[in-house]
Amino acid sequence: MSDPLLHAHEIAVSFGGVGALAGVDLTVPARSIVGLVGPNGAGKTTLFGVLSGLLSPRSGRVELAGADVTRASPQRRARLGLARTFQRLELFDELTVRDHLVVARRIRERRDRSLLRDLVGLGRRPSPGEDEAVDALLDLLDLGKFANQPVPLVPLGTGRIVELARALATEPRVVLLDEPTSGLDVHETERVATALRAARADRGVAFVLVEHDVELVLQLCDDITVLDFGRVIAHGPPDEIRASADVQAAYLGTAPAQKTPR
Amino acid sequence: MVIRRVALVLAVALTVGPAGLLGGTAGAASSGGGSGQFSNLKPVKAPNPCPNSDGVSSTDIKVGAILPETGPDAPSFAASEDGMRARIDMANATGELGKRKISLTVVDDIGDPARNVTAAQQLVEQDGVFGIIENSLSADASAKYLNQQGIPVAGWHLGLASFGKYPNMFGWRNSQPPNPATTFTTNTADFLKTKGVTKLALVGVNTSNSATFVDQIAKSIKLTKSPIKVVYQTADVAVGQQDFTAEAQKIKDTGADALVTGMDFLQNVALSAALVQDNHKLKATVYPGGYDSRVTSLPGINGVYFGLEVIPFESNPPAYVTYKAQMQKEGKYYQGEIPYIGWLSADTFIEGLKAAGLSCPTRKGFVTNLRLEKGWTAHGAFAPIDFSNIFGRPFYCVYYVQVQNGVFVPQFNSKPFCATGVINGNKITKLTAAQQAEG
Amino acid sequence: MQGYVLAGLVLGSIYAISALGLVLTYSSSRVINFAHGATAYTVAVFFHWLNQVQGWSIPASAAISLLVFSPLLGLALWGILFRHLTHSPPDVRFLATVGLWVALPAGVQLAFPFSQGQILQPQGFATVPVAIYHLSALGVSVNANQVAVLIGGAVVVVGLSALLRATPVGLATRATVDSPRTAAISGINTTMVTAGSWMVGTALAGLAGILLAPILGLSNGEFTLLLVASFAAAVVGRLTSLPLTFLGAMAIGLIQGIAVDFLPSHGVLSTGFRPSVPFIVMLGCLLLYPGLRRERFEVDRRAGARAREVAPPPPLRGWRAAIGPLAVAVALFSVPLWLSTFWVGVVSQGAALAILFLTFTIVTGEGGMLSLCQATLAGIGALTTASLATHSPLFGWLVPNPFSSATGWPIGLAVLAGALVAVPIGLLVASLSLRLGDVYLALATLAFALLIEQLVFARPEFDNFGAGISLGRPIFLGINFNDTSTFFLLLAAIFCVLAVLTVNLRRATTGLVLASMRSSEQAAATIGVRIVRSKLLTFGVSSFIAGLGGALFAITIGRASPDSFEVLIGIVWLAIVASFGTRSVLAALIAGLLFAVVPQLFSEHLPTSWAMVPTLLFGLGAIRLAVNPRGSLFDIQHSVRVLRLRRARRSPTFEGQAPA
Repeated sequence: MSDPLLHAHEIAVSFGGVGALAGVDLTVPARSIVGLVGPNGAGKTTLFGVLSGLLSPRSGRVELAGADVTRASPQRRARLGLARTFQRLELFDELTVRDHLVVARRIRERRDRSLLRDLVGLGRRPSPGEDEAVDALLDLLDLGKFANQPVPLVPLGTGRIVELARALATEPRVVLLDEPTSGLDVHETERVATALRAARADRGVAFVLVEHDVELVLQLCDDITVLDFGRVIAHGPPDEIRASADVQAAYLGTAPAQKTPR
Repeated sequence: MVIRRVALVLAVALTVGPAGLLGGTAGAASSGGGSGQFSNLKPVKAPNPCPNSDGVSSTDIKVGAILPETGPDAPSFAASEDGMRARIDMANATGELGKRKISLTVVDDIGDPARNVTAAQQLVEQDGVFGIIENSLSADASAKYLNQQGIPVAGWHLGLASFGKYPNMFGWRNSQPPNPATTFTTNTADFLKTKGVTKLALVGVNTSNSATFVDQIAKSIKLTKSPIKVVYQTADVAVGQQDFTAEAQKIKDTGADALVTGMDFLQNVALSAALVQDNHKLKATVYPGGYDSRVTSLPGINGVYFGLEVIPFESNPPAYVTYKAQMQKEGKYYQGEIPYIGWLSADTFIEGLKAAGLSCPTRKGFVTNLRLEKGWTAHGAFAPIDFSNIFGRPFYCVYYVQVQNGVFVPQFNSKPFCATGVINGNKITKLTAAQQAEG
Repeated sequence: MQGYVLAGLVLGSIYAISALGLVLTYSSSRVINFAHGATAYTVAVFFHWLNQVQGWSIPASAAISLLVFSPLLGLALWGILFRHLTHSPPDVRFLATVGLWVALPAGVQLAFPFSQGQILQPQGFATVPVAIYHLSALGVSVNANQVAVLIGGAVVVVGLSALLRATPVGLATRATVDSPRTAAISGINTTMVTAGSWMVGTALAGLAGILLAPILGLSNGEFTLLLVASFAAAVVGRLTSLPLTFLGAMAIGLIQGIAVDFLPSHGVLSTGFRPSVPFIVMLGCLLLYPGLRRERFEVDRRAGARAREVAPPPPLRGWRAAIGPLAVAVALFSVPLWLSTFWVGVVSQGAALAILFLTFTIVTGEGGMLSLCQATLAGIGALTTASLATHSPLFGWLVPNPFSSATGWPIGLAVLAGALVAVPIGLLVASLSLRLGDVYLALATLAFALLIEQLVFARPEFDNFGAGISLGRPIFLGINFNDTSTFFLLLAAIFCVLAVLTVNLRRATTGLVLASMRSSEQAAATIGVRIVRSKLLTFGVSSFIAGLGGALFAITIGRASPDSFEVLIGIVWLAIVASFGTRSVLAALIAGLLFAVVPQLFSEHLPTSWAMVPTLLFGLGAIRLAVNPRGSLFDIQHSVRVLRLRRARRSPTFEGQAPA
């Protein structure tokens, strides 16, 4: 296996003395889709916080594209190619769908240093190629007809895809997805899955997927890590995880939820 | 809406030397007073036939007044309106102005510089007044405009530089130098010397005016080579502070036997109470402002000296007798100086009208002829002054009263007490007897 | 020494009584009640009216004031205002209480006209003449009012702590504020709890008012100053700990009391030190306490997070977008045609204020930051301009004039310089405050502003600044701006230019970036937005505009005076602009014009007793923020757009999509 794109090593986090994560490892090879599952409160979002730089671990190391980013800011990680979506939608309420992609792209291109030009120019000034790139991304994710809508007006499922689009607009190498199908019905879930596959095929992006929809995870991911009470209790390809007794026990003995097969 | 007035201290700085506002150095510099500046002035004759313009009609004269009727300065000045109206009512009733009567328009400037400017513009441009009576701490704001328009102004100098810069402005008795912060008299220091005190405490509020005022007293002590020693000087009291336990303790610790403050009326009263509580007696205390009968029985006020710009009421000066009668007639009388000052301001304005010639008062006539007037006493309110002489210089003489057993007692037989010298920057110039007589 | 310690303890108790009330309200409702002092003042006036004007005895007056009037007042305030604030974002909460702070005393003074006068020796619980106790064992004398305050402070801290910690009511209160939903589920009647805690809070404020009036004086200004200083003690207690707040209050008081013994009579420390102590402490705590920094992007925005169910109206495109602004511009420029010279002058003041108010549009509207120091920055701009233009000493020494004219810099250049000087100061304030969350940022800017006001504007060395420097109008390009109408047109032009620049900014990359930060700093960070840098930039631009506006305002009235730019006035300005909408350039214009025009209208056409009414109206406008957080203008525009859309019937943006 080549050097992993994103690698978390022995991550430990505690909040006020209560351990939330202990000794957690996670490896994300390039162009892969990695699943991160576990019961509620297992620490998945916490781990994402550490990976994306919004939380500092008590100990452990995070490496991204060969650089040690354990203490690096989210902004620096973004420049190195890390993006994420959020469990509770963190959209920019005052912008349209298209603007989410525009602003993400412009920051990526370091075009946010233009205060004076912004003052004097009249209106938006897309850079060469910006319109095409943004439109292409909108098409890829089937967001075309929502493009000019203010984001508070779009349905939840579309909102989740907008977050994904925003993440992709920063031209990342790896995207962390925090429960992207939470609250969605079957059709919307399918849209998300399609979008993920398209993005991986089209842009070679790696994904880390936190999900409660275990069936989706088993179908999409190359590799799955299972957390419980802040520790990794299982790790491996989908078949192994499906069969694992520990995993089933962690989920209180219930079999994985069955969804209508494709 | 100004919450904390930097210059509230001056509300009652009737006293000694200008606790001044520095008006800046731009504009016509005054030569520092004295009649020399106006030596080329010739009296202006009232025109015939009368054009009846500039606020003068054949039947009345429109006069404006600006003061803070509301706002944080209001308690200190609003009552002067009663005195103004009383004087004007009397003039109208007795036909003092010949065939015309004064119609007064009062505008509230809330003690705010911007509002003061608007008030002046409103009176001149909207109401078309002939001239303005002004008792406001913000008068500096509109002074330049009024000067440019040639509007006669009569009012209370309040330590404002504009009264010493613009000859169209007439303090009812006193004027100011254009740099009140650096030009001042040694009056307080001289006065304290006569009381045989040795250790002086100076207490000011943390505004630049008050700090400057207190510092001027210290400088006076130094430059007059006074035997008095300044043992405590502070300008760190918070504006509005009412608990003076710490300051009283410090005054006691330093063994001061004299006290001068640059604070307002309410704060002075609070400081006295604290001194009583601390059981510390002083030989001489001088407060700027507080000449008000409500004060005399408060704790610690017994023995306090107040400096006044007028002959004390207790001596029944003729102007006061007339004022009291008129105010009682209108049901507005109470024993306080603010309405009286309003009366005197209006009186001065009326005098200007008369000087201009009642057949046809003009603004130029007012400003020129009143400036040339000598021996003005506001009908017996104070020792005579010449308007040309007092302009642009600090006033040398002050009347003192002392609270004794609940009553104000005039000092020095109700004669004014005059400073021995004038300080300019760090230089002191002695005053001759002739100069002192000029007030 | 005992005298200083006593003075310190009394002062500390005064701060404590006020600060504890603040902390109580914050603990039970997450609202920093800027109107706390005004509430105390209201009850104190009522008490004075019962006791002195109506002649009731002290116990009877106190009983009615505290047990009947205060709770009713609290209930009324809760019903009208505070009830709506529970779901508002922190800045709206703060600004609405600012509106109350403005409106309440105005209402009180209208209702009780005696309160407008000077009240000598207001009476509290102790009868006048006030008894003095000589404690020879301690070597100090203390009077009855001071005793009352000392006891009051101790009783309040002990009583409140016990109440909040140990009683069921206290627990219910704390539960409700932590999670209203959970509390409701567990059977707590959250409405009654919140209403009840406001009634108690008001009664406590009333107690403070009656206790403190004899010592502070019966003046709203004094209560406000006290409130602002007691913020410091509340910050020491992190706005939540009663004992720490008490200790903080005592410490501040003791420092101020003991300092009297040691202060020199000249030099840097001789003026302004003691009044600055609370703000120095406040700033120190805000900058040094780790707990107040945002935990690297708070996720806790419960109170305001999803308050934006109402979508902003879709922005107009193309030529339609220009109609409204063009109409306004035409109306503005034609003002000299239909108003007399005098009124053009009044409107000029409004136009200058409108330019100044754009600073709020930028720092609060675009930057999402609540900054309370903009008035101070405006003052710095104005005073610098005036000093340069009149060749007066600046910071103690004469600045050389490179234009070989003895009378000072040309005014246009001086204005530019004034605006530029405000920028590094604004940036300094911002760089230290930016890491703090929401209202702590506001408090930090407030502390800075007050420090600058105390230590810079009030200094004897800056005597020129003491009472203002007169300013002339520019004359250039052959145009004499002494003419009122010409100068007005210049102001209108400057405003329009700045408005266009602001709108440009908003629609360009910078605007998008700022909008993203306002919605979700977390998400913005993860796409690479440099938050601190963007905020600093915004602050810098708004500081420039503040300085520019201040200078222009001073030129308009012909005088640069620190009085025109007091910190507390700046807070009123912010509240008024916010009440129209900080996101709208038009709101800044309307706010500025109204602020100048309405008081003049009242003054000219209505009797003096109505003078307080404009103030009351401005305060009510800000209070409305609780119900309309985006400001009145937004509502009007939104209603107009909704109407237009209904009429249009078909709009691609609403094609068959249900709101989220």
